[in-house]
Order: sequence, then structure tokens, then C-alpha cells
Amino acid sequence: MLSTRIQSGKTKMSETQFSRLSNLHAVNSSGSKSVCVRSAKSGLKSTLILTHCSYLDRDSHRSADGEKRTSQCATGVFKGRVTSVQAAFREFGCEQTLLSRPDGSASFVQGDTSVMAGVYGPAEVKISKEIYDRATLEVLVHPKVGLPGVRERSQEQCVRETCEASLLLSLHPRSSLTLVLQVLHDDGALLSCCLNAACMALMDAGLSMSCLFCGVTCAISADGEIITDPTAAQEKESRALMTFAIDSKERRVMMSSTKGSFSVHELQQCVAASQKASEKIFQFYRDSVRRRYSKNL
Amino acid sequence: EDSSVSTERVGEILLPGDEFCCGPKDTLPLTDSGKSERLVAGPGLRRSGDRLLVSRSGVLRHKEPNKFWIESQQRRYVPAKGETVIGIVTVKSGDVFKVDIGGSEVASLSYLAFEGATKRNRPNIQVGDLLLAQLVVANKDMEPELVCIDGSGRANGMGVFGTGGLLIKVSLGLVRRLLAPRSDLRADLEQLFPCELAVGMNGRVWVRAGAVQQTLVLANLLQSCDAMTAPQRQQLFRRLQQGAF
Amino acid sequence: MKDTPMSNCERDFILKAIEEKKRLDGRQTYDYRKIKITFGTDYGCCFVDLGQTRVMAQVSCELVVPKENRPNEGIMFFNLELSPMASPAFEQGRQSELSVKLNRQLERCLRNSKCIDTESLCVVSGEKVWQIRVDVHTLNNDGNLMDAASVAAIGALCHFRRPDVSIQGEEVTVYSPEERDPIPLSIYHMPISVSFAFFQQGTFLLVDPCEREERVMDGLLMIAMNKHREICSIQSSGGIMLLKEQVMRCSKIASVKVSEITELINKALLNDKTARKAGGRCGFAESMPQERITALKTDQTAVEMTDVSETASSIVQTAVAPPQTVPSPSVPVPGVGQVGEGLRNTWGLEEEEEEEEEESCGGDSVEEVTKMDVELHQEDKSRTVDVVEILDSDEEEEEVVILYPEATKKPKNTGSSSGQKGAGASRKQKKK
Repeated sequence: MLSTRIQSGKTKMSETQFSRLSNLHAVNSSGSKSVCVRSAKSGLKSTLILTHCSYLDRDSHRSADGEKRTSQCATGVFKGRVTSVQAAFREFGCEQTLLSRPDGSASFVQGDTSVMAGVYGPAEVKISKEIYDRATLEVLVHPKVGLPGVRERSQEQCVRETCEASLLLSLHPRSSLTLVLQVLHDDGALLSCCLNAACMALMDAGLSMSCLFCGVTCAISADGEIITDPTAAQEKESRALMTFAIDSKERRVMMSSTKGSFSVHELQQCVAASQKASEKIFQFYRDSVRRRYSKNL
Repeated sequence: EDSSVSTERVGEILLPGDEFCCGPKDTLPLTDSGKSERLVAGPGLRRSGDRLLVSRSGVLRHKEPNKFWIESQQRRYVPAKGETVIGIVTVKSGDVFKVDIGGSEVASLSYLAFEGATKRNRPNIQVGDLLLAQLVVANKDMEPELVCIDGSGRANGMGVFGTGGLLIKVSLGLVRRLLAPRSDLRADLEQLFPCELAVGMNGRVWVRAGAVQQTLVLANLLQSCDAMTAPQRQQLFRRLQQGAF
Repeated sequence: MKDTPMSNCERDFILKAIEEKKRLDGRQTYDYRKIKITFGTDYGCCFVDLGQTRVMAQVSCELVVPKENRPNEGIMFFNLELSPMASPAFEQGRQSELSVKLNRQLERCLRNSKCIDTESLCVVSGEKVWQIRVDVHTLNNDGNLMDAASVAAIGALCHFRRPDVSIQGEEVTVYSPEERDPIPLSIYHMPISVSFAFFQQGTFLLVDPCEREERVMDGLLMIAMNKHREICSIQSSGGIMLLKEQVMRCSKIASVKVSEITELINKALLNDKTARKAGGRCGFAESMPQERITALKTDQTAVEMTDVSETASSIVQTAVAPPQTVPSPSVPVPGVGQVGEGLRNTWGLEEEEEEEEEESCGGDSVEEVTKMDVELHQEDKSRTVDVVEILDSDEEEEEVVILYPEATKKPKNTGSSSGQKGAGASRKQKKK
């Protein structure tokens, strides 16, 4: 799959992006399964790559886009603090309809973080929980180890608020929608992975929504660098961590959950970075739905 | 709203939040009469002001002259009036049966809603029986109601049934494909071996064939056909016909 | 949420088919469904797919104080959770019968059989031992959760690596995985449970029942065995009467199945080990099948961020700065809180307006109740209240008598009492 991407993207991607991608992955000759090998050797024989290798820093994800750096330096000088946006997403993938019992299910993977979501609904609701004019949405987050605690409750609330804002709940009064999220592995950006898995599962169940949503996590490191989609190690060393839920129609912020201290300017930068990054995720949603319906049944 | 522009997008895959119709100002009308045309928005589309928004992900479909809808792969049934469904009797209390149709609420069925039923002559129905019934009341605000007679008081195939067969649960899309007027799937099935099929719009299908083995084969076939294209299905059926089962 | 009830025709058909030795999915009576075992990114995580039944097990460890009667043995803790994702019949929180039964069976199968050497988990006798915790999460229930859970649990235990510990005199050092390689648990044997479902009062039996078969079965026999043909646990439920020959036959079948499954687990462990040695990525992400149309994966992507800083700066510049100071609340007397500005009551004059407002917005009784609550708190804060008002929002009429010895509170009191009367009156009007 990686090989086809490179071939099609050759003309569109900038050379530095292309070489950075190939730098971090080695591709089998058959192109069937990509194994991520973090070394400077690339499996493709192309002089193009080799000439750009030297400009790339192997370990960090620093973007090598020259124009970007100058503009950021300009604003950095203007504002008096060092800010650069390291915007890269780890590998992400999803699978829909992987469970046979729930009405809709999806699993979303971001790098090593993976979350599985299952949706039931609209189904019967207990009288004590029913709402006369709309559906009752219940979100459950199950951690991998131990019983759900306070942290899971706050994550549930964040996900529930986002879902309630985008689902058309008034179409199913006095019924229940249950969304269960199971954390399969946590390597950073857990809440945004939960949001993405929830959105895909709700789409898979065929529930009526007014818009799609996605989750993006930004971390501000100790030296002011903004990292999107951080790993657990990056999160631990950051001084602030923010998760935003962005909607698909106007790219507005539906929900935000932040931890740590940051300035107003940094907040706005993170919001703008998340809005930009969300476009990738929405394009991914579109591609996966397109692939799903590609079979002419 | 101009249907000429809209039909260009038929077959496109849309996601919730997408806008379906564009404004009339940048399109040429198909007919030059100048009058606005009515558009019928089916499942998956909803109106918001003067725009049509997509509320489900799926493929946009069109039926002449002006019906548009989104076809999605869904499993959960939402009751709609006039549909024939297969229900399972859960409670038999007094004058009313409670029947599970797979929706968010249990439907009710009066004992008088059967052909030839009177207060003295009650239908012989036990808890756990299968019923083929039609929804007469089904909206989001009220409890669904079923009847086993049609407008003129005849059963017309509805009522209790089910001995000797097997009930399976399939997706709503497969059910629609089975019930379509010129259904390839049905034609292929007819050529396999003689069987009886009862299809409910709530995703439940009841099958019965001559022998237990044939019924099982049929049930498994239907469940796997859910995700197969026509050529794959025909290949599978051909393999079955050749091999012994 | 309730699960779909089973209809009589399904029940009859399944029983009839079993009498003809036919199963719903075409299996033979002693066949298992396809088992797929994969491991996660970190040590101790195991996914098991038994047909459509999916479970995940995760093993973790921590240092705790040992039990008093066993000071030099580690502790094993099992928790099987029936997640609402697995079936609409499972509810969150409530310990259903099935959950208790499965937990007990898993404990008996793994703890009582002493498959793990607990003495090797001791660090400092009487003070610190390792507590190994196994969490099994059910993801999809298509029957026979017990077998899937036992395979997942033992697979996860075999896969798990605990941190290395060194003791120097009184000091105990726990090394992180980066400092020293973690070490596996010492496992004596691998007990695996095999379930047999009985029908027609014990005449027919099936191995590995699926969900529909479980609903019509009379009873269940669970035999936990290891590949050395030692029975670790046997449990019969449902009240069926089994003959000795039946139980012997079942144990013979179980031994065959257990050896097959143990083989599968070992193969999966070996694959995982080689994959990790080769440095490849492993885990749930990699086990996702790519050829299905329901799955899609992209690679690491960079995102265009050229004008992020500009948009952020423009938003910050155009936004209104928040006020730097906040007006401090004025406190008339220490120990007294105040809501509103303590001016003369104007509610009596504005009664008509308030009624209009109420009618226009549909009578927001919630606001009234909160107003009442606020007044109540206000009164509570002032300690000199002799009569505590009981504000019952259901009552139509309210006669509120407030006694305040201090004169300073009078304006507030009149405000509050007439306010209440006013609100009560307006509510009375509304109820009309």
C-alpha cells in the first residue's frame, strides 16, 4: 500500500516530504505489508532520496519544509518566543464492522494507540433514563487495566458532549444509544483516538448525524514547540496537553480538554493547527467509507 | 433545486454533513419552463432551510423522476409505517400481544387484528411464536402497532407461521435486495432447490427447505451473500450446485 | 437493553438439527471454531478470536504487601469483565450471574491449578511481593466466552514480562524495561478450558457451543486441562445428569482439543517473539487485515502548517482581551454571604413583568427553584435564623415567616420574603 501511495503522490508531495516518508519506512518488493524500520536506509533505489537524506534528521520529526521554518522564525522573532509547529500524524488506520453483535463497530489506530468502539442503537431504554423528546446517549470507556475510574468518567463526558452535538438525537425519542469504547493500547493521544473511533462507529451504525467530528491532540513541549498527535513519551515531557474535537462542516471546535499551562497565543496556534490537521482525518474518513462502498452489491 | 445537477452526483459516496444540492443560481435548468421542481428526499437526507443535508454515509441513489436517497449498510431496524415485519411474541396479556420487532420499542398487536378473530374466537398464539405482520402505527413518538390483516380484512399471508424453518438475522440492505421487484438474488436462489422464504423488513428472514441440511445451507448462504457482489455470489451458487451438500 | 428473545421455531429447529448431528455453521459435533491468537504491542496483551467471539486479556503487575498467611507467595488477581459492547444483554456495573460464574471458573482454572510459580514472585518475604493482575475484556459474544477467556488469559500470562528486581540488603531496586530486560513469569503448565454443551437431557453433546446453541442447551460441562492430560478443574452446570462414560468421553475429547490449542498458543508466541526480534512493529495495529474493504490504513503524514501561526496571531489580535481585574464581592458583615446587591426589594413592583416573562418563555420553573435554593443558602449562611424555611416547590401556597433579630438584615429579608411570595404568587398564577 505504501508503494502505491508513493507512486501516485510523486508529483504532488514536495520532495522533502516524499523522502522523509521513505526514510522512515522500508517497503517489501511485493509491497504487501509495510514494516516500519527506523533507520536511514531506504529500500527504494532512487538518487532523489539519497540526495535529500542528508538534510533529514533521523530521529526527530522535524519538518524539513524550508518555507515553513522561515515564516515561523519570523513570527517567533515578532512574538519573542520560540514556537514551531511539528505537525505530523503517526500512521493511522481503521476498521469498520469488525464485531458481529453491535449495530456499529469500528477500531481506530493512531501509531500504537488503538481504541475499539461499539454502538448499539436506537434500542430500548430504561424508564428511569428515558428522555421524552430525544435519545439517551450513554458513553462507556473501559480502560485496559483495572476498573473505570474518575479519568474514564471525564473522558466519557468529553466524548458524550461531542456526540450529542453532532448526532440528530431528536429523531429517536425515548430510545437509548450506547457507545462503548475499549482502550486496546495507550501510546499518547488517547482521547482523540477515542473520538475518532466513536465517529467511525456511529457512521458504521448508520445513525443520523448533522456533521462528522474528529479528535486532534496537541502537546506543547517544554521549549514551546507544538506537537500534534504526540506519543506517550512526548506527552509526559510536555508542559501542556490539549485535545480538540473539530467538526467537519465548518472546522469549528466542538469540545476542548486541556491540561497544563499555556498562553492565549499558544492556545490559538494549537486550535489552528488542529483545524488544519483535522482535514487529513476527514479525508481519511472519506477514503475509508469510499473503500467500504466500493463493492457494487 | 435543479434535478439535472443533482443527478450528476448520483452514485457518489457522501458523508454526514455534506450538502447535496447547490443553489439554482449557477445551474441551467433542464426544462426551460422556469418553474421550480420538487425533490423528494428519502432516507439519509434531511432538509435544513433551503438546502439538503446528508445525514448518513452511503451511496446517493436516484429514482425517476425526483426521488433521491442515501443507500447505507445498516443493521438496526427503525419502524416505519406500512412495512411488513417478522415479529416474535414476547408477552401475551389480556387483549394485546407484545411483539418484538427489533426496534427501540416492543410493538403491540391486538388479538382482534387477525382474520376471522372475534372475542370468542381468539387466535391460538403462544409466547415465542413467529408472526408476519404489518405496521400500522410507526412513528418516533408512539409505540408501534401491528396488525395481521390488510385493509379488507384478509390475512394475505400474514399471521403465525414458522414450524420447521429457521429464522436468521441479516442486514437491512440484503432484505431490500431480496424484496426488490426484479431481484437477481431471488432468481439465483430459485434455481438452487425448492424452498420457502419469509422476509421481514426488520432484517429477519425465515427459511425452510425440504431437509434440515438444505435449510442450513440456505441460511448460511443468505448470511454470506450479504457482503458479496453478484459475480461472487453466482460463483458460489454454481459451486454449490455442482458439489453435493 | 434486552437481547432479542429466541423464537420457538429456532429452538425446535436447532434441537432437530442436533439430533441429526448437524450444527448451524456446518461444524462437526467435536469441532472448534477457528481460533486466532494475536498479541499486543506491550507485553502481556493477548487477543483471541474464537469464531466471532472476541476477547482481550491484559496482564499487569505491581508490588504489594503479601497476604498474612502466605508471606512469601505472590498474589494473582483475575477480573473478567462482561463489556456491554459484547452483547446487548450485558449491562455495565451490575455483577450478573454469568459474570460471577465466569470469574469463578477462571480463578479456579488458573489460580487453584497453581500454573504459575507464585513463590518466584516474592521479592522480600513478608513485605513485598508481585501482584499479577489479569484483566479479561470481552469484545464480542458469540458463545463460549469461557474457553476464549481461558486461552486469552494463559496466552497473556505466557507473553507477559515483569520488571527485573534486585535486592541489596534492605534496598530493593526495580529496573525499568529500558535499564534491564524484563523477565517472563515462570509457568509450570497451561490449563485450558473446554466447554461441552448438552441437549435433550444429556443425550447429545456439542463442543464449543455458539450463542444460539448456548441458549437452547440443557447444561454445560467445563473441563480445564493441560497438555499433560491433567485435569485442572471440572464444572458441570445446568443440573444435567451425566453418566460416568459421558464424562470420561468428554475428558478424552478435551485432552485432544487442549493439545491442539496449546500448540496454537505456542506457535503464536513464537511468531510474536520472532517478529519482535526482527524489530518489526507488532500489536493490534499490525494484526488488522488490510485486504478487507472495511479496513484502511495510511502512513505517517505531514500536515501543511504554513499559515497556522498567522491565523493564530490574527485571532489573538482581534480578540477582546479579558478584563484584568475582577470586581471583588463586597461583604457587609463577616460570615454573611450575599446574592444580589442588597437593594430594596423591587420584585413586588415587577411582579407583572415577571409573569409576562414567565408566560413568554413557557414558565421556567427550574429557575424559580434555583432562586429558591439560592435564597435558602443565603439564609443558611446567616447563623441567626431562628426559623428555617422549608421551601417545597410543590406547594401552591407558601406562608413564609422569617424571624430575624438583627435589623441590618431587614431590607434583605423583605426582599427575600416578598421575593418568595412574589415568586410563589407568580408560580400560582402559572399553575392556574
